[in-house]
Amino acid sequence: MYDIISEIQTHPSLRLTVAGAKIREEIPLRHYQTVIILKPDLDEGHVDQAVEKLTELLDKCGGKDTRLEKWGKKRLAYKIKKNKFGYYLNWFHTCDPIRVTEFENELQLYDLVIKYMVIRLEEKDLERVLKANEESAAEEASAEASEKSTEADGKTAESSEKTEPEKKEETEATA
Amino acid sequence: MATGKKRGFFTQKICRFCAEKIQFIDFHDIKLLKPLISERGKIVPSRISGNCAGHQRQLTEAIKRARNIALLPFSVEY
Repeated sequence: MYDIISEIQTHPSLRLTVAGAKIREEIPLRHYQTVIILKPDLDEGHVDQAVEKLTELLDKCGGKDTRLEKWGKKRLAYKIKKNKFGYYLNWFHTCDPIRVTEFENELQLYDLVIKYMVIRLEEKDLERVLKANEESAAEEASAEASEKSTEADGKTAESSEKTEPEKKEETEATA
Repeated sequence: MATGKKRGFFTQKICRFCAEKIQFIDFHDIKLLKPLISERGKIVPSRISGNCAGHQRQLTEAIKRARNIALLPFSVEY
């Protein structure tokens, strides 16, 4: 009989209700990725306000924000609550694993959120994602740099074109 | 045998993810996922697309996640 009770107490799903707050402190935070679709008719200012509200909600649930990406307004593949478009947010954060459902409930009650999806990430997944983001950022930076250089080339080409007719005129004038 | 017969659109039988050395399939990479769903929005079986088992498993998960947040349709009606 004693064995059964001890087994129940060590079972991960029941530990919290049986043993209370002491074990709770030992459980480490998990990483999550949350994709949130906001209403499409929001300005940038309203989106920032919504993000602030969402971070508040996350703080309530014992989570911390690691990275936020704004994917912007996109067309939805199907209508959600009569909306054809949606403003996408991609959010990497940590959260207390027990209170994720609480966080999800809060999201459901927040009226600006049309739809959301919370995914649990393993450590290696998070590393991979962050690495990919860094690489993409570096690529973008290099692409911008190359664009600038091409623009500069174009300008020089234009200037050379301009100079040629001028030269011709000059030669005609001298003739 | 099947190998002697004429095939439809998918003539190649190599896993495209193995060929491009993609280790993980992201659910928001729609350009990657779009060719692997049918006109109706169904997932193309590996028997036709030629994907290896591991990548097909990752792919189905990615497509289902993409459907959940409206990046891909659940079904396309005519």
